[in-house]
Amino acid sequence: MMWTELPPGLILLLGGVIAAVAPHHVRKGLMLVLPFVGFWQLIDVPNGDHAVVTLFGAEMVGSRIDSLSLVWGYIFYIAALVAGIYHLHVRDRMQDVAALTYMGSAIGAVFAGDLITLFIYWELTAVTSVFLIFANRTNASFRAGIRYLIVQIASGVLLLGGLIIHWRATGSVNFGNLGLDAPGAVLIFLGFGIKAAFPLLHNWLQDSYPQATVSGTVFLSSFTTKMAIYTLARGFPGAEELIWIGATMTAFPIFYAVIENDLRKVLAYSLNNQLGYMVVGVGIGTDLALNGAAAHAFTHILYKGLLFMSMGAVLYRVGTIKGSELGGLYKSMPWTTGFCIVGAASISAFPLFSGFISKSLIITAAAEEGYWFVWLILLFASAGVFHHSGIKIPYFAFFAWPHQAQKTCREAPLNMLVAMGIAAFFCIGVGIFPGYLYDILPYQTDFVPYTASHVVTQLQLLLFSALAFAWLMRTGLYPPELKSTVLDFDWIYRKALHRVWRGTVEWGSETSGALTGGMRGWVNAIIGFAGRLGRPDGLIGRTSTPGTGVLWLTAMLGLYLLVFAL
Amino acid sequence: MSAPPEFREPEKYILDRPSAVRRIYHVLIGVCVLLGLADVADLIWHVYHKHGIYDVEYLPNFYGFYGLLGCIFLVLSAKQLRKVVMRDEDYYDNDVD
Repeated sequence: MMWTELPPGLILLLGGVIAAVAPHHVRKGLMLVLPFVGFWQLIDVPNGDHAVVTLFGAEMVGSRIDSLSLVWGYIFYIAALVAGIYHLHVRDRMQDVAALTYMGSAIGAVFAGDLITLFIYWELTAVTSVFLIFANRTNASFRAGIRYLIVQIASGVLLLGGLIIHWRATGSVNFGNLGLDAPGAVLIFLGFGIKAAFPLLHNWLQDSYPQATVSGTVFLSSFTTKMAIYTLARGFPGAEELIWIGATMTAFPIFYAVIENDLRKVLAYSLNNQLGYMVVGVGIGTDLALNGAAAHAFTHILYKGLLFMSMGAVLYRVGTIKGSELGGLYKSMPWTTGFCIVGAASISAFPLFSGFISKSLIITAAAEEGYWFVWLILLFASAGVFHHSGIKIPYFAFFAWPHQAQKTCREAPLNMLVAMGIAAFFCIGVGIFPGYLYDILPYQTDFVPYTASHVVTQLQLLLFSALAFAWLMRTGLYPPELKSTVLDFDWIYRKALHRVWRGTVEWGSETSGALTGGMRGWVNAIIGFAGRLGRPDGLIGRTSTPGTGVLWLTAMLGLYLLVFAL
Repeated sequence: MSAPPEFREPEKYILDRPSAVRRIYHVLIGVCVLLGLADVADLIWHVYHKHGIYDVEYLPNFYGFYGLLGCIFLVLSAKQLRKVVMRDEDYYDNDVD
């Protein structure tokens, strides 16, 4: 009875609370055992709504178990276990607690049957996961963490605003198929969109993930964005806007992935691109497409986790993850190289690897529904994925002849290799026996991925892409990996707005010089005040207090919300 | 973090030989040609029964050429993009005044 009524997310969340006071090996034990307990619960408890509470007239459903949420539930627990093994050697209470509570919140969100419960878990994922970034304990990671937190909290505030409007208008907080026309739905949609890294709302991802710890990035890459995909699939299946948003997402990050030097950032761009496929699948909204989105989320968590784990192992052993400083590591880290290649083949959708049997559902659905332009973009992005994730990542880390002496180091620690091995096993297993995955998808499917036609055309696409890479390399046309920062949308809030502010102050003081008398005094007074605000220790200028930033943002959005509601 | 990496003369592996890399390149070209020919053969003898939704898919080696040109376009335009968006590595390091 208790077992059925226990919201799934609480298993890991409570584990995280215990971990806050427990010694090292108890914490590690929790991270290894609790995913099994959670998985067992999902198998044991029948489908339906459980843990229903009525609070202030709103019916809250803590545990909605159905065919859609189960796909995410299963893969989240598998990811929790794999990442937990990968993280085994790390002695850091902060990361252990953050990881457990973060994973628990994400699982809780997926099984939330109402918007209020969803909102609570939604915010919890933000405030817990940021410690995986802080845990790197550098100035850069601290600042990136603050930016991450502000964006994540903003997403939650939008969700909260939307849900209040929705509640007032309909009297229900049930989280089902909302559709964009429902009251408040646009705000909720944007809230989901931030975490799903929609174009222009995406930059928190590439900004923060490469700043997290070695295992922190592995945890992060699996949960937040896929939770957002789930909520889109639950709340907005068939919203046509998503098709175009998703298609844009598949295409534009890959240009950045080609020129980015930080290989974990390259993976963050490619993560963004893979989310695009899922968003397209949700937007098309047919049974085949939604199955595709779910299947792709499942396979993606495994191979993206695997790629992040392999790059994490390199960072851990070599101390850098910049393409311009790596190369030739296949000699020192042969196992890591092999696992990375499995991940690369999976994300590239090579036949017999997991990406092949999930991505094709979405691409086929796009073609069948007559979205020929989207279909062309998805094909282009598929070739591009192979190019930057399939070839660039393993090539520059493990093979490319580096300019300096080749680095030698030890192979990754055993626990990392075991974690990568498990993920690689799943990548290949799902690729060869897609039936096991298709059986747990939300809708019945008779899709057959392994037809001669499909295999041959996919191989044509991929091998000619490989040929393009090889040819560009041999002719020297391929842009070398360069030490650099690549500007993306975050430039707007990290530089441009800052400059506008400074420029305004300077312009103001020049103007004040031209004026005389009382006018001059007034202007000086205002500028002086503004200048004090804008100084590093001033009210607006200071950047190092997370609470204040978040508070201001909350207040601002709250005000906006009020105006909107009136 | 583990001990800092040491630098030493690496052992010789097969891939260190330029001839081996060249051979891989040639094998890749060979496989691509075969894949392209498979489509021509399918057009004439229907060897593998290609099925598609759009007419353009029936062009011999459509997927291959699309991937090849797509990737070249991707890389060359990304290279141009660098001119606009690339900055020094420490560009953001001094973002506090």
